[in-house]
Amino acid sequence: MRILLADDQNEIRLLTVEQLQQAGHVVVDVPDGAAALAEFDRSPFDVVLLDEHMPTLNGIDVLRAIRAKRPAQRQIVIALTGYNTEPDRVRLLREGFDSVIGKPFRLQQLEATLLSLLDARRLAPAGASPPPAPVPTIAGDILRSVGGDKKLLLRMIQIFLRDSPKRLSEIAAAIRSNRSEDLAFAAHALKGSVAIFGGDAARQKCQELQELGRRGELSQAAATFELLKVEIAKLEANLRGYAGQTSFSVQESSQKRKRPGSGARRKPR
Amino acid sequence: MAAILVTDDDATTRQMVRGVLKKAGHDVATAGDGISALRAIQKRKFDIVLLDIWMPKLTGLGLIGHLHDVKHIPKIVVMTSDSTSDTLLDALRGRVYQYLKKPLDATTLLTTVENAISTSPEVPAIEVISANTHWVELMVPCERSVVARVQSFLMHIDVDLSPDVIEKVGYAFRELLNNAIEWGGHLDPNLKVRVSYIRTKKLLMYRLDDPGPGFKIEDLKHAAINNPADNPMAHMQEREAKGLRPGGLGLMLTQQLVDELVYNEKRNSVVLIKYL
Repeated sequence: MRILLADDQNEIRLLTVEQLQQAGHVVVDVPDGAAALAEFDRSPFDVVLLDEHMPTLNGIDVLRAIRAKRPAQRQIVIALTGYNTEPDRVRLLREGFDSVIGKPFRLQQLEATLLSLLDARRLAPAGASPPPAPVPTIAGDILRSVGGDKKLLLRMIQIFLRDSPKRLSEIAAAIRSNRSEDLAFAAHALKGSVAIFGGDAARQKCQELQELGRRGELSQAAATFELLKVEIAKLEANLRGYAGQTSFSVQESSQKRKRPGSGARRKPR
Repeated sequence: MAAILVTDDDATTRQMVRGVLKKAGHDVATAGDGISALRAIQKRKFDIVLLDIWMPKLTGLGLIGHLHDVKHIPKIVVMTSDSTSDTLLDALRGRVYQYLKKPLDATTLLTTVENAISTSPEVPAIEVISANTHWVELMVPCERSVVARVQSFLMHIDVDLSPDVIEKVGYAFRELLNNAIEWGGHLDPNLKVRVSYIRTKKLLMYRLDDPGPGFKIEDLKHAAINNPADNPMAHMQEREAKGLRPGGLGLMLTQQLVDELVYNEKRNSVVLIKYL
């Protein structure tokens, strides 16, 4: 099998590579998340093994990017973690990893996990689509934060959906032309509106880009920007869904208000 | 109703703040950057300016620096998600009325605006004696709205502490400052409480010196701290008889929330310590 392994702890990574190679696998190993994503883009892998905590992009960041890049293809991605408690396993499985293996692990353990995942895939009906990713929903506290005013929230969503592509292009242009101050301002402004809608993952990525811009360190910015785009797309889809449902109910209730007692009037015979 | 200028380079935030304030009956104008905001302030009178810090062309703090030329200086409420201690201290030095942390919510926004409107222009400003990250010292007028204002700055300096510690210390500090302005300063805005905040590696300390003559703990029949062991509700009966607002649990709770609470002999100075 072709395996991509990302782990920043050199000793563990090299030991794992050796074990996997002895078992006949082809391994590409990288020391951080950004490099993992670059390798993933370059060539196909049967399995991706991601350490949870890594510099540049952590394991969860890389997983999200992989899922977003090839949503139709069910890439097997396994988390490697030093925190192998039940709550940690559940948290990582909820993030979308196919399985979680605690470090240090034995080769047999990894092979058993791989075999069961491949078996499950073979047993799945042909053409079965992957399980849909959980869709985040607009929480009640966002509506409360605008004083329960649905119309105002809808208008804010419209403005956000209108402006976010513009902000993303500003960020892209700033990264492309190495203008760190512009990057910081654009990321900051986008962060403001993202935070209103509770897009925590997107807010975090804006914050990271803002910091990179302020420090003038643009080398990692492109990788972070890729992840930001993924998170913004999710937030936009969520907001569009909410706006679609809510505008209908807002229209409906305002029509009811416009026709008070309409049911009481009867046509003369 | 107040005339309010909302300045933020993010259109969604402008729309939100404008929408909430307009619905509450205020006259709201908006600006998308510091320069347009400055022009608007030079052109007409605003009671309050809600100001983002980080904006292109002219930052919020840069704008404050230009305000001395303006005939009618509005009350400035800073709203930002970047609560670095330097930003906060610069805002304090710039005589910012209050600090709001983003993301905003309608209730906090409206309460802040209502407080700002009800604070009379005669109330003296908060005087900054020291404003560095280890030592902040302020002279604050004995007036109710000052408590939320001072707290909005001081409680955001310690971003590195856990929310639990910030909440406990915040509660204790608020209680002591309320006591100082109410009992020590008799809510007279011409009298001032000296508030000192000192932060070292191992502790966080507040000292409050009020302008009153002090008090005797045994005279505090209206406070739960003096209740006899067999009557834990004695202070409530005393408060009702004196026509005081319900409460009186402050000192007792405060003692439990921090590590040390030390008074001077007259009891008009108090030191609160939380070990880190």
